[in-house]
Amino acid sequence: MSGTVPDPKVKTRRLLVRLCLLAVYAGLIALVFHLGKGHTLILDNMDAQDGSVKAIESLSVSVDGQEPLDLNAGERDQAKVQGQGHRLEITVKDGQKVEKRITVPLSEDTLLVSLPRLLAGVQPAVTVFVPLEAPAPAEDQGNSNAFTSPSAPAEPEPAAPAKPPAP
Amino acid sequence: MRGRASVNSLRQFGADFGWPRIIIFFFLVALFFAAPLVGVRVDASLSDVFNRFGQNAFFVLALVPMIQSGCGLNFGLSLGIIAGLLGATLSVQLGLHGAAGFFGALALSSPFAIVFGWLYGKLLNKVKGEEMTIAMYVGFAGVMFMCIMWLLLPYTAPDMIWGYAGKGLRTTISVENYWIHILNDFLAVKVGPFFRFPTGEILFAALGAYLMWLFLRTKTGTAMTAVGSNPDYARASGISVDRMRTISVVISTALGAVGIIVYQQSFGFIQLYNAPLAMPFTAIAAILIGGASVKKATMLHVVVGTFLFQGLLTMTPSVINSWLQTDMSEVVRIVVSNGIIIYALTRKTKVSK
Amino acid sequence: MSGKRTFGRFLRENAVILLFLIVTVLAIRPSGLSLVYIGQEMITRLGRDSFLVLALLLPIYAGMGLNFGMTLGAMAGQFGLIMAVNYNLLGVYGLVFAALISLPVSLLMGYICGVVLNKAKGREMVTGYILAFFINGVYQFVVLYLMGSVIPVRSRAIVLSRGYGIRNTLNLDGVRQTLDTMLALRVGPFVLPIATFLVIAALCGFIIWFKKTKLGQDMRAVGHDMHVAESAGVPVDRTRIIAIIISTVLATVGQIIFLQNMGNMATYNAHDQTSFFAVAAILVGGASVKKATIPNVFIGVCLLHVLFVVSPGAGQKLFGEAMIGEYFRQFIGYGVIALSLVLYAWRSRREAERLREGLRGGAAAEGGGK
Repeated sequence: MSGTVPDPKVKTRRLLVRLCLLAVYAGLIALVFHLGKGHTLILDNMDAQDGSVKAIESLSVSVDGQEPLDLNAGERDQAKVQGQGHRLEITVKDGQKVEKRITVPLSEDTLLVSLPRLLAGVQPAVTVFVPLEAPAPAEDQGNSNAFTSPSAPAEPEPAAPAKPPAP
Repeated sequence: MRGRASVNSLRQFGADFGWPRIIIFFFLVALFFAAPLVGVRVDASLSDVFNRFGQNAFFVLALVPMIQSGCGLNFGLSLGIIAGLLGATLSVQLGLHGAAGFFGALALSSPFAIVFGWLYGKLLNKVKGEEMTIAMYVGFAGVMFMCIMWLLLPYTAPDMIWGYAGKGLRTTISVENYWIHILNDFLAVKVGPFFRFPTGEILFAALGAYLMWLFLRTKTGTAMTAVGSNPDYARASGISVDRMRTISVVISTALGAVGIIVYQQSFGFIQLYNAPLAMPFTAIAAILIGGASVKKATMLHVVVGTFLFQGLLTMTPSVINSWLQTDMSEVVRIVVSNGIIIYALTRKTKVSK
Repeated sequence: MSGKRTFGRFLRENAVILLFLIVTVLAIRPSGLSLVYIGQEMITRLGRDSFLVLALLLPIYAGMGLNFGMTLGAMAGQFGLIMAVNYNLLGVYGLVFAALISLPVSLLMGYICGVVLNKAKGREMVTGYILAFFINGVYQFVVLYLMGSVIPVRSRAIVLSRGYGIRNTLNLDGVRQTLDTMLALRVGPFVLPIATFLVIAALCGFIIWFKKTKLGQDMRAVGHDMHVAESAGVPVDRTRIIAIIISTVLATVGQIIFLQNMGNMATYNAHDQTSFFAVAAILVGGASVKKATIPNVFIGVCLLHVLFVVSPGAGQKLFGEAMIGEYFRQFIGYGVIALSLVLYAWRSRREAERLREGLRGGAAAEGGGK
C-alpha cells in the first residue's frame, strides 16, 4: 500500500495541504506571541529630561484595571502587563479621570511611560527603558549535576526528593 | 581478484571482531594520543583505567551466567549489590580490619546473596520472555526497600551511623580505617609518582574470570549454556531448565556481591541508599560493548568490554574537559554509556566472537 | 462456571487495583490528612497528570509496550517552556506558544524514538528506557552548554551566572496555573480546573475517534500480531513510528500542563520522573503491557497519587522518620510496576499453557521443567 507511487495530482494536493498547515502553524505562533507577550511598564511621574513638561504633583494611575498606583512628583512605579495595547486611567489629584491608550512595541520587555508627557500630549510618551547594569541575581553554583559517585554514568532514578509538589 | 579477497577477509575480520569494538578501540587510542596534547598525563590515566577495570570487572562478570542461561541482561544486579552492601556494613559493624575485613565482608554477604538470588531466580522463571524489564523494577524496588532498611536496621558502629540522630546509616561510609585498597595494594607495582598498577585487584579479577571460564566448561556450566541457546534440546536431554536458570541467577547475584565489595575496597567508600540504582547499567554497557549479546557472553567479552568501557569513561571526560576547559564529564558519561547500550540493543542478534 | 472460579479470576485480574485500594485505605488514617484535603489533591493531580498518562495509550495499542521514551516528549516540552519564559510570554498564550515551539522538536524526538524502537523489536521497553537517558544527556548538553552561548537567549535572568546554560530552576510565574485557573469552578470545598479537564476530555475524544480511523485500525492490527498485519498489507514499521510520534507529542503537551500546575521547573530534573509516574499510574489502573483503556488511566492516576499523598505521612507515623515516607513511596511505585509486569507475564504464560493443554486434549504429561 505505501509502496505505490502516488499520481502527480495527489502529490501537489498533499504539498498544498502541507504548506497550508505550515502557514497556520507559523500564524498561530505569531498570534500567541502577540497576545501573550509580557511587558513591564515603568510609570513615571518626573520632570521630563528636555524640560518639555513638569511632573504632576500627585496622581493615581490604573493600568488595564489593575490596582491603582499612587505617584507623587518624582516617583516611579511599575506594572506588569500582557499584550500590546493598554488602557491607562489617570486621575490627577483634585482632577478628572482621564483615559489614555498606549501601544507597546512587541520586541521590548520594559518600557518607560512618562505620565506627564502622556497627559500633555507630548510625543513620545512611551520610550524604551534602558536599565543600569544590574548585578545578576545570586543563584546556586554551576550546574546541578553533581553526582556523588564517580562511576555513575547512567542515572536511572529517583533521588528521593524529585517529587510531586508538596501542598 | 586478490584485492577483492583481501577486502573481503578484512570485512570478515571486522564482522567477526565486531565493528563497534574496533571503532571504540581506535577512539580510545586516539584519546590516549590526544591526552598529552591537552595536558592530561598518560601514565596517570592508564593507572586510572587499570584501577577502574579491576573495580568493575566483577560486575561485568556477574552478567555472564544469566546471559548464557537465557535470562537476558541482569538489570536486577542491584540485588546482588545489596547483598554485598549488607556484608560490607556488617563487616564494618563487627570491626573487622584488613584482610579479615575484606574476606569477612565476602563471607557475610554470601548467605544474603544466595537467598536473594534464589528468590529472584524463582521469580524470573515465572516470567520468561519479559525478564529484563521486570528485573529492572524488582531491582529498583529492592533498592528502595533497602533505603528504608538502612534507616531502621540496628547498626551501632559510630563510623557508620548519623552523628546527631544516633541511628540510621550514613549515605557513604568510609572504609579508610578498615580495608581500603586491601587488594589494590597487594603486590602493587609503582612506576613513577603517577602510575600504580593494582596487582592484587587485577589478580583477583583474573582469578574470578578463570573460575568462571572453568565453570562454564563443567557439566553444570554447559547445561546452563544449553538452556540458554536451545531450551528444547536441553529439556529433551533431561536438563531442568528452571533449575539451571535459578543457578545462573544465584551465581550472578553472588558475583554482584563480590563485585561491590571489590569496588568498595578500591573506591574507599561504602555507598548506600540510591547508589546501587546506577550500577547494573554500567556493567551492562560494558559487556555489550565487549561484543556480548543478550544471549551470548564469553570471558573475552567481559575483559575487552570492561577495559574499553572504563577506558572510555575515564579518558573521554578528562580529555574533553581539558580541551574545552569546562567540566562536561557528566554529560559525556551519560551520552557515551547509554549510547553504547542502545547501539547494542538495536543490533540484530548476530554475535561477534 | 462456578461462582467461586469467577470470583477468583476477578481477584487475579484486578489484583493490583485491589492491593492498592487496601494499602491506600489503610494508610489514610495514620497519615493524618483530612478527606477533603485528599479529595482536592486528587482533583488537582487528575488535572495535572492525566494527559501524560493518556500519552501511553497508543503505543500499548500498537503492541510496543510501555513507552518509556515519553521522556523525550517531556524534554521537548521543557525546551518550549524555556523559550516561552525567555520571550516573556504570559498566560495561556505562553503555554500555547511553548507547545507550538516544541512541536518540531517533539516530532523529531518521536521519529528518532520510533526508528530506534523498530530496530529493537521485542525489547522496546528496555530500549525506550535507555534511550530516554541517552537523549537526556543530549538535552543536558543543549540546555547546559549551548543555550546562552550558541543558542541566543534574550532573557539574561534565566541564564546561569557563568554566562551560558539555563538556571537550575526556572520560575514559571508567567504561566503558573494559567490553564488551571482559566475556568476554575468551586464545588463545595473543592476547586475544579475545568479548562484542564476540558483539554483532557478533548484528548480522550481524539483517542476514541482515532481508534476508529484506518490508521488506528492499522495500529491495532500491528499490536495484535505484527506478521499477520504485515501480510495483510499494513506498513508495520511506519505505523509503529507514527504511534510513537503521537505519543511523544502528547507527552510534550502533557509535560507542559504538568509544569504549569507545578509553577516552576527543575530544568535538569523535571523530566526524570515523568515516565515512572505515568507508567506506574497506568499499571495501577489495571492496564497491562498489551492492553490499556481510558478508564485505566483515570483510575490509576487517582489510586497512585492518593497513595503518594498519604504514604509519606503514614510512613512517618509508623516508622517515626519522614525520609522513610519518601522511600516507602518510591518502593511502592517501583514495586507496583514490577508486580503488575510480573502478574501480566505470569497470566499470559498461564493462558498460553492453558491453550496448549487444550490442544493436547487434557491430561498430557508434564515435560521437564518449563
